[in-house]
Amino acid sequence: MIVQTSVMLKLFGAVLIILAGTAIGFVQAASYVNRSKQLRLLIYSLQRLETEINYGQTFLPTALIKSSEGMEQPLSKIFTETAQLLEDSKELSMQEAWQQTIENVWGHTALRQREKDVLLRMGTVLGMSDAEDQQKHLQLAQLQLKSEEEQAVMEQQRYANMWRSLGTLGAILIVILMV
Amino acid sequence: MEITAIFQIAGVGIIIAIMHTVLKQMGKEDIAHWITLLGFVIGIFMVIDVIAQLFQEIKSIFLFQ
Repeated sequence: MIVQTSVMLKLFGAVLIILAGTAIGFVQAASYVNRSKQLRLLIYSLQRLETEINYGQTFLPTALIKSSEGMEQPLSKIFTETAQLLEDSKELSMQEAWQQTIENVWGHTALRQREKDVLLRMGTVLGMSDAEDQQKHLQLAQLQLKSEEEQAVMEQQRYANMWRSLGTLGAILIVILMV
Repeated sequence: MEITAIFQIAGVGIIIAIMHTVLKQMGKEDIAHWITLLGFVIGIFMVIDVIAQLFQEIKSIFLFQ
């Protein structure tokens, strides 16, 4: 009877390890899927911001909030929090608010350093010059993000499946080693 | 005892082979080769006691110790 319970316990532990390994694999795969999705949403919102600035001539915090509509939580925060900072404190410049928000929010998104650089560079121009110049910089940022997105989609197709199977296989390997 | 070790090594071999194929298909040949090497090292560690025993036997037979 005692022997049987220890076998059961071992089996239970093995199942737990395999489940955990599979979960790690799926989380890694999801980060690739999320990255391309978030990049796509970011491009849309930049397009909307461009329209707001160029045709609407909207007040910048309002334009930021409007362009964040329809986006999900981690990304929309970049826009809404910047707008909040700008409205709250009068001495903060647009560039500083933008930079501060991006530093805060970045850890919660699936995006990487290159996108961050693109956004930070774009932030130095927002609200600093005339509409035409801002439009040019927004378009440049969109172009750069688009090439990143294409690359992200390619990476997603290649590595998402790999991570899924590697997670399970690694877990099975650990179980075999511990038997 | 010995039979379990053989099955264990066979399991490691199968898993490592699948990992190698997956990584190679995704174009990560270098990592695939490292994984294979890792599997080999794991296998060696599993039989290290038996190999030591074997050497002791050989020594005691041929060197009269």
